[in-house]
Amino acid sequence: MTAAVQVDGLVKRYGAVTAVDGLDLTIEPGAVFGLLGPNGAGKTTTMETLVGMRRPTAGTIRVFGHDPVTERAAVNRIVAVQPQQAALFAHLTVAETLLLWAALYDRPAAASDVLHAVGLVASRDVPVRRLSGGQERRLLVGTALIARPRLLVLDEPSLGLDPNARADLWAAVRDFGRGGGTVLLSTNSMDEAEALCDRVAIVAGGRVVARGTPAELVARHGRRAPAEPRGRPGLDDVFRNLTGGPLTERQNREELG
Amino acid sequence: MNRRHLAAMSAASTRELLRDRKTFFYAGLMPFCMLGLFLGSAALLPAEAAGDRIRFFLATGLFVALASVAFWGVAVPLVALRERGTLRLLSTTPVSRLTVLLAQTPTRLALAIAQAAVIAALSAGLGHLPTERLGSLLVTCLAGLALLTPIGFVLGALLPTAEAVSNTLTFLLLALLGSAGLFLPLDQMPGCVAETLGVLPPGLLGGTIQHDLTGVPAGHPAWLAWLAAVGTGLLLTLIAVRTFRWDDGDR
Repeated sequence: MTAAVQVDGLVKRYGAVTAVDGLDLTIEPGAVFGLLGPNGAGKTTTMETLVGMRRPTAGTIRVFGHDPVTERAAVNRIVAVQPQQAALFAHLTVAETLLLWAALYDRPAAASDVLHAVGLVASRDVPVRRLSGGQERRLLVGTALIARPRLLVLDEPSLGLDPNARADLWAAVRDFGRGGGTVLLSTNSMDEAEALCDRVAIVAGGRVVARGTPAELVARHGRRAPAEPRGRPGLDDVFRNLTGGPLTERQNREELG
Repeated sequence: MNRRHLAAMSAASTRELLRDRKTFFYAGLMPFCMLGLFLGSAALLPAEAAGDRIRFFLATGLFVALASVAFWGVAVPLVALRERGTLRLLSTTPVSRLTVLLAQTPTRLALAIAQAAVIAALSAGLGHLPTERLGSLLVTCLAGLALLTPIGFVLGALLPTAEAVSNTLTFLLLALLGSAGLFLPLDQMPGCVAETLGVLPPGLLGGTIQHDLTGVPAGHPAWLAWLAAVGTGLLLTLIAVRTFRWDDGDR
């Protein structure tokens, strides 16, 4: 079976800075795959290169067999992206935005379903410029969901969301996954990764340093130092042990706004 | 090109233009403010000089209207979309660069025709525009848009910030008015300059606008100006599609 995503030896340099340094990744169709890593680890660059927004310096990428560099149109038809930084048309309403995005794809989801999924029913007639940061992020996820893509790419989708909105988002991602879609999401929230992802890869210094199911990674790398509080090890511990930088609860809260 | 994409993007572009008061002012209303100033200054002249000056300024006003729609209505919104990251997001969808550019056209066309109709009515009211020249004037306006809108495409494709566009457009508008003979009449310029400008697309267009709108004789047939405008416009559109960037980031 063709992999949803196959990345071999991906390198991406910006001048003298190497953002991604020989990254390998395989994502099977139907998986919800999490890309975890500290800030600056290369997650966003990897995702943007994977969908054709950036050209790789070296390495090969295939998305359902398509090369995003030479077959970008084909990739754009089957992949939908929620970038970390993007803005929608400021003067369109929420509903108009979703209908616009629906018109760009061959078999879009119903706008009303997506409005429910991202929790923006009450804001359907609000112009984008009047949305809060969290609401606009939910709408960005909505524009990706309405495409009904084969691969949904979400770059830190829950950043800045309140707990209710985050729960809605998680439900929407689970529904998408249950419908057979493949999801690649990056996150700094270990809760999110444990709640949503079948498999995760931890990226540090532009490379994958560990991969597996969350349970496998916890079993392999979830040990705690004797001085640390007792309790069941989790992905937080894996993250800390593999990246060398503890993701404290305070940092986690800052990441989530 | 996908017609569904074009229709959806055109509708979005229309809503954005009509709801964005600042852009709408510059594209839709500012030309009338300028025309009002021009005509007001002409009205201060002695009666025998005022007539010629009003005819000249009517043509200048029409050129400014077409250019404002093409420049402030096309280039500024495109660059603003890039600055905000909207084009970056659109680059991940199946919509093409040409569609993004052409989606700007229908509303701007309607706006320009509406502005031209007002100026034509004014000219007709002053007795300078007989009905038999209306058809030719309409074609001249369309040809003018065919020349000027792709300039907006190119600027929208290349310039990095809305501020840079705004500054460039002010200078460019004056330069185009000058080369069209609508800032200073070509016959008041040195001979070689007037001859050179007179055969360039803006000069041809300027002469034809003056002829069609106010009856001032042009030194060339209208079809030559139309052909030059459309040909140059097609070339500029091609350049715009080639140079169009979805975002400012490293590729």
